[in-house]
Amino acid sequence: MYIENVFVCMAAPLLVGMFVAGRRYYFDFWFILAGMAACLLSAYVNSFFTGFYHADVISAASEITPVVEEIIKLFPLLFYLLVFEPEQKKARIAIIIIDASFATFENICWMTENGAARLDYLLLRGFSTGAMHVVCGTLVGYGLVFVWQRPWLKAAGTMGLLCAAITFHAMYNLLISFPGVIRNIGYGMPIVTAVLCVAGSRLHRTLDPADDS
Amino acid sequence: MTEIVDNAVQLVAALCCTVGSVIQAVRTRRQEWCILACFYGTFAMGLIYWLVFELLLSYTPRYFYVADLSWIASYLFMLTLEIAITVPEAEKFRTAAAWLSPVVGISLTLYYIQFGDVLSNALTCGFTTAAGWYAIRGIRYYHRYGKTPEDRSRLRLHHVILVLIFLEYCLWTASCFWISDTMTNPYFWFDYMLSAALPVLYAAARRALPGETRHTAAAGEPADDTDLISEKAGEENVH
Repeated sequence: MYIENVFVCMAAPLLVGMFVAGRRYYFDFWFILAGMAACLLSAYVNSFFTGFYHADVISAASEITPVVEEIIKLFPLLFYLLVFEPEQKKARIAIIIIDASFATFENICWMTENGAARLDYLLLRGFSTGAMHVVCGTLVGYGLVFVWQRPWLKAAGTMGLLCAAITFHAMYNLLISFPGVIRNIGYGMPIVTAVLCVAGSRLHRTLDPADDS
Repeated sequence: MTEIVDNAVQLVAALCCTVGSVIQAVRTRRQEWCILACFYGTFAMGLIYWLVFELLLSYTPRYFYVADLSWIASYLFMLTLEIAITVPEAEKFRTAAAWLSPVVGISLTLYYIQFGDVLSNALTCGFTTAAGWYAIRGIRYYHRYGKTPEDRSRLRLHHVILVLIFLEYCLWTASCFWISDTMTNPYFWFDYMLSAALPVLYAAARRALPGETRHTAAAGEPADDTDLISEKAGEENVH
């Protein structure tokens, strides 16, 4: 499968849109492109390690892919945080756009390979993959914004957040590798987590309106 | 089956301690509780992955040890906790006994490398060795200068962390000599002792880190004078 060709095809209209929209919206488009480019790079690195270790499908999905994807997904965000030092609000938007575009490109590649005939399955997969990447990215991204304000937690916090995201991602990949109820639990896990996170965040804002974090 | 039960027991202990630590962190707003919650949380996450993997695939991970990453993060949080609970006076304190930790840690790391990969073992043992160094120094410091009940509770906390590190080393060493999947394997004895040590650490932390909000200078925050034992340990006493 020529996923780099898919990437070029996806990136071209975005680049055109970026130049038409103007300088003010450059960053938004760049985040989308960065998320998709991270997904493309992850696919290459995953293929390399899978071949290197002669890993089977389940082992690759549950042991190699989560580590590679979460680390590579962090690069554009780290670049943005370290180079541009954005405000918290801008950083949070960037995190969500990067993760959502990563998940989008992953789904496009998956459909190119496996077909798009079953809408019910694609809906479930689309929402759960999207939710999983957004949950993992939000955990790392929001966490980084939090821990980097606290020098005593910087190193351990970054490592801890990345490990938590990798473990969550690995659990998801492991569960969806099995048929039946286990797969459905896997698909449901990130959706439930995302809903709980949003509900918790809204409740926190309602209880403590002064704290915008 | 023995390993699954063992891991399940440890997971329950770790999860209970995570919930307890999160409650304490929210209630007291102390950074030490926040770090301890992260320690328990990452430890529990590694266990969840390991347990689910064992249950579904009936073998242990073979390529990248995802669970190991979480455990490495938890040892890093343990080291951060040791640094955070160190009072400024103890930072200047030096004791030869603390060097026992690097001697044991480096020797065992070299031994473990024969069985596993270099990076994972170096990181794991590096963090536990550093935490052990801080724990021994804290124990020696409070043995010498600690007089108040609060000092004794901090001494106990350092003791528990050192015991936890010792049990980890015993566990890793026992895993190098895998005898069987039954309770005759010393690995399971140490793992159950480790499971018991997790709530003991939580109990020790509850005594050593009481409710009122304070920050230690070790963490780059202004220190609370009433918390410290600077009056007892003058400059001439530290070497």
